[in-house]
Amino acid sequence: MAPPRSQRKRALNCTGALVAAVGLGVTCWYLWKNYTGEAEGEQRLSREEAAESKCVVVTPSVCDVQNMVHWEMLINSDQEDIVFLVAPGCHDRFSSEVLSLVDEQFKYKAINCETVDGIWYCVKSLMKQQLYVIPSEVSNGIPNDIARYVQDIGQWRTREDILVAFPV
Amino acid sequence: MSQRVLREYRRLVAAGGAANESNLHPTDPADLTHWEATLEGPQGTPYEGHSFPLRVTVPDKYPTLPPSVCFPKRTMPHPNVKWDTGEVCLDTLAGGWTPVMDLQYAVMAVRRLLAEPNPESPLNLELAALSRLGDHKAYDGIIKYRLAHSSIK
Repeated sequence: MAPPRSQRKRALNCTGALVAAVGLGVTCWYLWKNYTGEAEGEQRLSREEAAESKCVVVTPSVCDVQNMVHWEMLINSDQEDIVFLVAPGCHDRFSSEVLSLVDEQFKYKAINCETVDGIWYCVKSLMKQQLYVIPSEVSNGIPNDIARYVQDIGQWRTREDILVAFPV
Repeated sequence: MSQRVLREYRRLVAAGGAANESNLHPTDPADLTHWEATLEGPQGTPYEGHSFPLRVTVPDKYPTLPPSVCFPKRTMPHPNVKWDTGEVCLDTLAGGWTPVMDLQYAVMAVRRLLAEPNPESPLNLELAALSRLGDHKAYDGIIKYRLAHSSIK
């Protein structure tokens, strides 16, 4: 004997509710997965950005922005792959204003160069991805062959350019 | 294996640690073709305070042919050492070799090279250029940077 009509209707309602619940669950899972996937992607991106190696040529204007950029914080970070090539004439100032605030274990990240040619040999030896320099403050500007040793050259013209590259 | 290298091994063992400043020893005493040594960075150089493993390979025709030596790759920043491979360019271990020299002499020649680089036969062009340029601060700075950086990685 067939079940009464009210029982069939109740069974249909249960099935419908079950399908709706499963559908809602799948939708929630899909949305959650997409959200966390994007977050992972962002984390991966920030790690890649953090891993980009940098070389900064320290000239007078680079010293001038110390109060805003706080170079010592970049040097003291073991997450930052960064090296500072200190141009002739800037050794004492960079040492007193920046290196005096740097942990002893990270001071190797600042290399004093006694000659401008020495700066460029250091750049070639280090082969960092990003080179930052103010060409007008280095005699004879950037040698033509430097582009072969770095992936990108950030040529700063003003102090504002420095603050854009290293936002506070 | 030549009797000569066997004699050198016995002599080193008999002499003990004091006479074997660089701790030159075979990787496996049953195979005297592969040796290891540890070089202490010479005082007054940017290598001071660091220790460097050195691998020594003895050819079949030793001592007619010199041993070959190399540092582990990317551990030795030096004008006469190729950074990416650890290959060493040293006249003593090429045309300047004579069979009266031995493995310990070869190792000490490499240690002397740390204090007295020869920028005229470079394998690290940039460090050799800094040495020729006389930019001692940059030269020392690059070496210290490499040593600190490679120890962190």
